[in-house]
Amino acid sequence: MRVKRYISGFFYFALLLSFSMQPSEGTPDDSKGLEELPLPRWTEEDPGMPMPTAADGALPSQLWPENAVGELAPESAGADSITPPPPVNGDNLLFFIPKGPGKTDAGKTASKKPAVPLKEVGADFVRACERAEADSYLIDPETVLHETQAEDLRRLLSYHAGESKISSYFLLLGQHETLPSSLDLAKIASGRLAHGNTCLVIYPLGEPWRIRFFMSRDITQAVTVKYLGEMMNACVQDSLQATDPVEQLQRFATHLSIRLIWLERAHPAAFAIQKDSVVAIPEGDPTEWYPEVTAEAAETAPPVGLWDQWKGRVVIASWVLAGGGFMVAFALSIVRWMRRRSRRAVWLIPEAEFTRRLGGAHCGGGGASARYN
Amino acid sequence: MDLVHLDRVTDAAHCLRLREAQHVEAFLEDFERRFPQVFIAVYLGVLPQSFSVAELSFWLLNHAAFNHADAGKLNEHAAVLIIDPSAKAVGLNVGYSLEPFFPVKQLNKIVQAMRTPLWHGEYVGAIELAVRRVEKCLKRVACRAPAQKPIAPPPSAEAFMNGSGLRALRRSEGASIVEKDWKNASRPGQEEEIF
Repeated sequence: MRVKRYISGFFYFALLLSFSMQPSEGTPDDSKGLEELPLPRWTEEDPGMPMPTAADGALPSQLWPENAVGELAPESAGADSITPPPPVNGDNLLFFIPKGPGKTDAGKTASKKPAVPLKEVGADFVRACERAEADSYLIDPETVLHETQAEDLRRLLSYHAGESKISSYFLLLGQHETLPSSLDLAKIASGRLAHGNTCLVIYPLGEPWRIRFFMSRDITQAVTVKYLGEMMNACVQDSLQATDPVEQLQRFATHLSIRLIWLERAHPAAFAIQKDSVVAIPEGDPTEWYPEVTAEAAETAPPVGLWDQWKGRVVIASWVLAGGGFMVAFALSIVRWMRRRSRRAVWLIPEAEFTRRLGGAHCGGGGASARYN
Repeated sequence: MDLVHLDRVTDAAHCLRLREAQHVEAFLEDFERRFPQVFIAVYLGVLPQSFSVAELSFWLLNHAAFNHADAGKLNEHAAVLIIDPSAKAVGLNVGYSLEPFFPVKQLNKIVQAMRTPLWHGEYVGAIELAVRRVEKCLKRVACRAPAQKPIAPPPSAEAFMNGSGLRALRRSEGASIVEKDWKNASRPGQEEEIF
């Protein structure tokens, strides 16, 4: 009875719920009675773009992508775009990628010739170079480097001069500057370049591709031009890894220091002369006693023959093989002699006295036995 | 009891192949060349249950006549190695002359070292191992001496012909050559056919 009442109550509740959720067809105009919410409207005081009007026809062009073509393009796509058209080569996406200090760009700049004509330095500059002290490895008459940067470089060059047999001097130039042809290298740094093994780097700041590199004649005669050219090229390429001019200079100086120490170890015969010995400076062309090393020299140098390239290794390998063969032959002869000696020899055991026991004529014991299962 | 005849290697249990037996025999001969006073005999056989390897080695050393190059060697200088593959037992015994150099402890070491190759059925390896150990022990007490084997020329032509191994096809009247050929020794009557 109670269950029947529950079922009927549930039925009425479901019927009432269905009536309340079903949209009534007989009241279509009831929604009109509700108040319509107003849309926002543009006013003259609003910041930003003026409100477009349908008469301008600009509304669709701002909703669609500017350069959209094809089926997605609206009817007004044929109208002139506000922004200029993309370049023909189609690399417009590269505009959004930041350009880093890449080697490619640096290489491009290296091959570029300066658009601005070079200007020769004045007589004061030359005089300052000549008056520079012998132990000042950094000559910067125009003070193109800040004091701290110059001091860092000076410390590096002084340290290198203490560690290496080749002292390196840096003569700094400003951008678009060049040295006069009448400059006498023998007078630079109070004539220090004529003493021992030295090298001079004329470094235009920010333009590593214009670097000029001079070395003592004793070194250039002992070392191949190709080696020196490759060394010079490697230093320049390493400096071009950086974009900052000061960092370029630091990289160049560091790499040059390393390369000079390599050079010293690879050609020890070239540094037989004393560090402070004075070179006789002949009259005439200064490049004869202090020749310039260029990266192009490495490319134009005659190729080294295969025999010259492998001669040292072949000689060492021959000595090693000969020594090894001699040792093996010596060991084999010893082994053979020992075998022959053992074949010709016999071993005699001492005669021992014994007493017979257990009735045995020749043996009196049971020996040793074991099981192996 | 009468003496028994025994070779360097006696394989009564058929444990060794022909090549292995020849190899062991050559190995023992080399040992005898290096130690001319000493010889080693190897016996592989299945023993009755009432007979141990120690007893057999004792009996063999006292009653066996070993076949080796120098018949003058006495059994006091012999070492006998007994292997029983059925009972899986191994024994080593030496004569009176070798007893001072091979105490029981040393013999036990040699026998114990042979157990592993014998367990794997490597009879040749076990025999070689034992011989090497014996050789090593002997070298500690032996002294090296140059091998002296005097070779005297035959006193007469007849003695040369007798000892050369050459056979005459026709008998000479004045000479009486003794035919001594081991190949034809087992085939009597062949001489008559030739002549």
